[in-house]
Amino acid sequence: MTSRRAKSRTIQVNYLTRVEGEAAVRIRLHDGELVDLRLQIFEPPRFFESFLRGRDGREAPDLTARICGICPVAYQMSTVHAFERLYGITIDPAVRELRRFYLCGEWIESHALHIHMLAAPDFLGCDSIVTLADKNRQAVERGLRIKKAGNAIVAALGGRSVHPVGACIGGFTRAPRREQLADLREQLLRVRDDAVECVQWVSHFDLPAVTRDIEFVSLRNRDEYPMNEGRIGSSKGIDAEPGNFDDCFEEHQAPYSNALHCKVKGRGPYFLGPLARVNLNFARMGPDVTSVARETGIPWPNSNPYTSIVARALEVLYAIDEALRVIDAYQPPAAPAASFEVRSGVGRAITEAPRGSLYHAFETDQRGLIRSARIVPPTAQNQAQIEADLRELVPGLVQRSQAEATHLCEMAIRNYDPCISCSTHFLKLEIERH
Amino acid sequence: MLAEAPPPNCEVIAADRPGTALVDLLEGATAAILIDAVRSGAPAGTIHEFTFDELDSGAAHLFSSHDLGVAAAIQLAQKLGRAPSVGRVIGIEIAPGSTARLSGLSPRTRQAVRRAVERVRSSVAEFEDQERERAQPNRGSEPIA
Repeated sequence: MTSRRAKSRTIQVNYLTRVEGEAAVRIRLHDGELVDLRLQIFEPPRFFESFLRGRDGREAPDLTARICGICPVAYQMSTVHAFERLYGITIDPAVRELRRFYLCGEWIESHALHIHMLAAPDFLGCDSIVTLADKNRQAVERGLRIKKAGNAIVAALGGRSVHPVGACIGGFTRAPRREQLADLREQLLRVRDDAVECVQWVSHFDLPAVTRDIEFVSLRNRDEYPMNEGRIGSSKGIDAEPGNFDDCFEEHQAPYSNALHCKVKGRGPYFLGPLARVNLNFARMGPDVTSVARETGIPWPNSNPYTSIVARALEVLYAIDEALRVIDAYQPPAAPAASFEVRSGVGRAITEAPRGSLYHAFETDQRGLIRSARIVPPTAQNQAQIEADLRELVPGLVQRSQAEATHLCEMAIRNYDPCISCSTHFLKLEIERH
Repeated sequence: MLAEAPPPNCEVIAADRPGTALVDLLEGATAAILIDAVRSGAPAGTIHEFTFDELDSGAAHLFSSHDLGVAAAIQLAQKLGRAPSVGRVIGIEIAPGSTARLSGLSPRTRQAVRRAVERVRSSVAEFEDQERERAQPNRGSEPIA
């Protein structure tokens, strides 16, 4: 925070112990032609892989949840599913439903935050949600109501909406009573109309009309819109078990970045996130949501990254409907969590975090202590695709001012809702012209 | 400390990284005092105090992909007409954390917390006195509804 008081001072409120990074793009041009483009996004999960080693696997869900302040539930889900595969645990069907409900809450709060605080100000020429409130107070109030409903779902199962604790290997530490979930029903019904209006609002933004050759990747599930279960699918034919992640994708160290870049084996970058999920699983959102999607006039599937904001809004609507379905059908499980015996082995799982597929793999010894951990978040997997999008932008940047060029790059990156710390202006853009 | 013996007519809320929820928490209050850890480079234990209106407008840009920061949340609440007319922030300067172990609060910061609590109590007393003066009918002012 900064103050206008007579003596100049800067007060920085920084409550997160990890240092969130910025994004940096370096573009080198020669006679107006692109020579080199490099994107760097700080990637904290790598440090967690190191200090998880030697820890008891039963601690892992609470530890990995702290990797991210906006998607802790997804980290918990990937972790518990990986360990359940490792230990051969079958979860109660009611627990399975509660986990979808839990992730619905996170999708709702994360997407609502991104749409109203980060993306909408960009599209509407506002420099923050505060100035957006001047322009369209109703939309901001609506966004806050939607986010609050998402937070309430997460708090109902996780004890609190920030760094929730509640998920464990085998289920939850406690299962809510029917009445506790029913309390949320009225709140969700009220914000459903808000969510429909949000889809309509964002679909009328001046979205750049681009078409790219993109490979979209997400989980696919025959019976439902994918969240915690499914097979890896893509728009170019991938169909694989989550355990075969390494058969489909490869990571390599970019020399200029501390992140590993991911590509489809034998091909190139790929695109994770709401637009990928909507493109690959459109009908699974159900007719109440697909009808709203069609009314936007946007074709589905499509390969325009700028429609990601609409895909996010559609997922908010889907998540509200799905949460209501779970509430109406909910019967508490016989036990909140299945019991199990630890053993040595390897477990792998993918969960659809708000930003896309999140892959976890753990290896344990006979005592259930972690020998190795692998955490591949969607933002890391998207980096190669983001670079590809930025390369497409370069011809349009050459004649622009530094401020305009930076803003256009930020908008392109923001389609992916990358999990980095960002002010309205987060990008360090360096253009070298020779 | 405050929760164990709250000042009169006050609700004490411990909000762990409230983000946008701060907008809801501020609504309906006649006055609000926010206490938070800060880092400005000042010595640990320094107490900073300023009103909501003294927040720089640039603070609205300071938020994360992970939620709204305290300053931006205050300004949003003001913009939406949900912030109390009297709002104060008491910031307690913390020392950089030790990476070797979980160090908790430094002794200086611990002392500063006690001073901040006293400052909250005296601020509430000041505010109550001002409200009582405003409410006195023989001064020609309107009673508080």
